[in-house]
Amino acid sequence: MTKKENFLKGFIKENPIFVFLLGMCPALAVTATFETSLGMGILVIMVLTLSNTIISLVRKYIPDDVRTPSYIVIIATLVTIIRMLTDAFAPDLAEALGVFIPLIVVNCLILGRAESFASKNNVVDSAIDGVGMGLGFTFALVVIGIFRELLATGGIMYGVYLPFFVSKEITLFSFDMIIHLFNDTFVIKDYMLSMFSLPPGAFIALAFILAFMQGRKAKKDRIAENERLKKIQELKEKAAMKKAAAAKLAKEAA
Amino acid sequence: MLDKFKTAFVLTLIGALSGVSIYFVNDFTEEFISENIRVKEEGFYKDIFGVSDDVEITFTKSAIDDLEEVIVYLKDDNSLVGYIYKASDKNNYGDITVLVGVKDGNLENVVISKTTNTPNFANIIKQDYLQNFTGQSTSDVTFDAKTGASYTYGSVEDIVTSAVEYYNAERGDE
Repeated sequence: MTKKENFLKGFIKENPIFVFLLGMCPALAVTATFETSLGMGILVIMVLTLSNTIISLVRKYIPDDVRTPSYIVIIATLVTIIRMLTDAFAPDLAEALGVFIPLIVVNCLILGRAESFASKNNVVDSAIDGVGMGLGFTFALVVIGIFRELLATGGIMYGVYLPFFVSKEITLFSFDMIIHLFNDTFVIKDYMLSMFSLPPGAFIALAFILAFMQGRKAKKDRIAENERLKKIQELKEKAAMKKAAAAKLAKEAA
Repeated sequence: MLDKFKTAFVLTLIGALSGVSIYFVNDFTEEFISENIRVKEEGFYKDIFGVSDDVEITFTKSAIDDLEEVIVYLKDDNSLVGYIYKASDKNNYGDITVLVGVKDGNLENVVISKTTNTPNFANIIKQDYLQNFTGQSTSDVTFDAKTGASYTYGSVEDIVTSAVEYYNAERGDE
């Protein structure tokens, strides 16, 4: 596997949430808005990259029988450090994510990558895997977050929890922006499905997105299967024609 | 035998390095975190008494049994803004911290500053019921009988009651 393939595999092909269904707890719990999803994603990228790197560095010195507890201690340390830094520099995000920051310790994606990749590969590849998988995880969270926030509020906000690049909250997108081009009085926000900001909405949103992803995959598989059958049919026809030609030649020779 | 020593040594080393890293990061972030908590707390105090963000305030704190009394002053002329009583309670939904603002014998505002109670229930109480306290006299506080059955509101009720009792006994004549 090339470094580029290693980096890109986490986005779609081996996406932790959409393909492996790993780390579902934060995927359902903190994706009520785009911003909390992005915040959680950034924290997971940091923890995953650092844990993969450190575990890959020390993998040869850790005895096999205490591998898992050692990894857990390393991951827990990193999560504690990240939590302190979040509390210090992004207190609103820390409050919004609440208990889900410490819960990154038990996110099966982190331990899963440590066990299946970092413990068997070199530091550079492990770090690339960590960044790639983390970005794939963030991508999935952000897709769910945007889907839920749009359906629940009719818009996407930024600057409420993440203190980066903006001094106050801004609306990145709103259905009202489009509607107000034609009608000034109608406010779609009043008619949105607030259920999508609640836990049941998370399950329904994830179901829609997974169904869409599976639908696309099934369609791709069906096209590939049809092409395979078509090729087999062509080969069969060619073989039959060759056979007929050979039989004709044999008849003529006789 | 040597293997066991090696395992124990590796685990000890990992534990020690973890502890040291956490110690240094804690040392570095401690000040920022305390400052964030202070700013947030100050924001709550200003919200309770309707003090605008650009006005500076000072406050003193003292602990009385389960309550904490915060006396808020304006920084400019050191005039009294009001009293805040802060207390925490544990109920079946989790922990809750409530701030009760009192000024001139009336409840100014009641705020849930921190809670691990079920968010939906806590939000209902925050949005629909806390505002009913505003303006009530500390000598006769009425609570919502129906909502009083919920754990979150029950905790709020207990904290408001003890805050009001203390205020009437110790500060009622001010």
